[in-house]
Amino acid sequence: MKNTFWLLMIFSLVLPGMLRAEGFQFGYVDGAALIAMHPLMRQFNPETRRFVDTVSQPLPSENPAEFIERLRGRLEEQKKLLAQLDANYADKLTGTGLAARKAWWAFWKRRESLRIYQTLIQEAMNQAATQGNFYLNMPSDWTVMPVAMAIAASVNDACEYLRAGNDLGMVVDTSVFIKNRPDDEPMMQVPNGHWQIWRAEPFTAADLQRAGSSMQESIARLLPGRAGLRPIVAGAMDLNPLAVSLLENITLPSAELPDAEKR
Amino acid sequence: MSFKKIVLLSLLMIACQSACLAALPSMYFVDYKLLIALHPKMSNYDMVLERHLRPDVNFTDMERLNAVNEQIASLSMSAHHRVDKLLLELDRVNLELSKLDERMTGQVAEFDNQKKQFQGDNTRKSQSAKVTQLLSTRRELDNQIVKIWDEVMNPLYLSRAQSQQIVESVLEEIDLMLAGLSRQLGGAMIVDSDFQAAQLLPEKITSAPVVGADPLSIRLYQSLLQSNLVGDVPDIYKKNPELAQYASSMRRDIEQAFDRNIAMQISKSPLFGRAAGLRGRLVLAGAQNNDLTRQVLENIFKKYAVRADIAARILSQIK
Repeated sequence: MKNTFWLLMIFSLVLPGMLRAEGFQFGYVDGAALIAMHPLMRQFNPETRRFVDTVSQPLPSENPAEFIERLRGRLEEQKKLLAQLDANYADKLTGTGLAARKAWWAFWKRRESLRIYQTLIQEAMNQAATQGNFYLNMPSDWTVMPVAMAIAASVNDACEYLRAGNDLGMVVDTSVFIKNRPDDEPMMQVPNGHWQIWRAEPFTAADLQRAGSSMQESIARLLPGRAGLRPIVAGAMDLNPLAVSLLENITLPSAELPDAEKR
Repeated sequence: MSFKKIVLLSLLMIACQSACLAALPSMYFVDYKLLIALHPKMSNYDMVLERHLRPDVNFTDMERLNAVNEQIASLSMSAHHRVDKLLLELDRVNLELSKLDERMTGQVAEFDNQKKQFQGDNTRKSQSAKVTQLLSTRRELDNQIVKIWDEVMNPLYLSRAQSQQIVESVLEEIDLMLAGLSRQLGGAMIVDSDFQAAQLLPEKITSAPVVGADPLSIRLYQSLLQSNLVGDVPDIYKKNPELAQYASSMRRDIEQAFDRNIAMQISKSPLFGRAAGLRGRLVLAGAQNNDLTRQVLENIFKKYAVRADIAARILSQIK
């Protein structure tokens, strides 16, 4: 009994540390890159800052009737895709294992995505029908919102899935970090300021900062890409590759899910 | 003590310990560039040439140093000859490139209805292929020149490839150290303090100003805070039995309108980022003592047996 007592004591002291040490609490993704790869972003026109073929698009030159007809064709294609997706997977994804649940989730989210594409097209057609010659050339800024929300929802879905699936407390978006710039212009910096430090000559904290910045610039030239932008240096899981494939899985306008097998 | 009590006691201890660990601050900072700049293996690194000084050259031995300098001078003479030839070749390539550029920018293409293509399409294609080839030749010549000057400095410096290896190993060592520290701190996230939050200032809205010129919009939040609208229906809908059936849907509408207005107020939040003090800070409160730069450098200095007085002096300047 005594031995059991000590064993349990040691176990209870070590276990929490072991549990915490094994996995990450944090994950990170490049949110801007995920937004950029969303299929809806292909409809974004940087010149007008609006999404083509949605209510946000200014169309001074296209005849409304032709526009509606063109979109009707696209809507039909989307409807066929959705029907095909249902036929491919709706009754065929079975099982209760992890892989089956993931496949079902991807199918369901892809379906949601396709329905949103349809709604966006339908809404653009409705607006064109009621407003005729296209909203005085530039629709209100708020017309961008449904598309932005659709994109944000898919990115959030993918991140939340990865967060929960990897038992993480938080997923951080690294695209909101930007690098500090040194106070002085690079040309004004003394090259090899770190030699002054190692020679035990007087230096200040600002000298240290300048030496650090020059070092980083030098290493960026020596090893391009290696010492580049990396705001989180330890203690977080890089979810980028997983997020990219997951986002593709749930947003591509296609009736085939790359990771799911039809049974 | 009974077995049950022992198990209960252990579970209690696990719970206490987990709670203690959970209470640890789990976000730390490190000035990554300083860890590289002050790593002892980088102390003989020349940031301009991107190479390390050779460890086998004794810089206090003037005789040896003079010999090295003479060697560099003689290598430099022969390098000049070789580089001059390459520079001539480089001039020729640059001239050809600028001539091609001139020709290509002056071209006005008109559509040839018979051939169903723009006039001069084939010429343009062969011209761009030529540009690509010339650019590649120029890159090759540049590389050769860099290589020749690199060789001149070989008696004094390690090769670029050797330096790359050293820097790789330094970065790997720092990353491993940080990963270990993160584990020791219960899975803490370590962020490079050299980064700040990007300020995404909204652009001026042209078609319908939401903020600024519109007093209703400015007063929106004030009126929302002062309102007792949430779920509140006019009394008549509560008292009149015929109207009561509409009360719930009316309440829902009112609540939805309130939520929409709050969402609009939230969407304006980036505009408040202009307020002083918010700009660029990642952490607004706490975590003041969570900078690990000093601690990691201390570990590195110990590992490489840096003289205590030098180490202390450097560490005293780390904030």
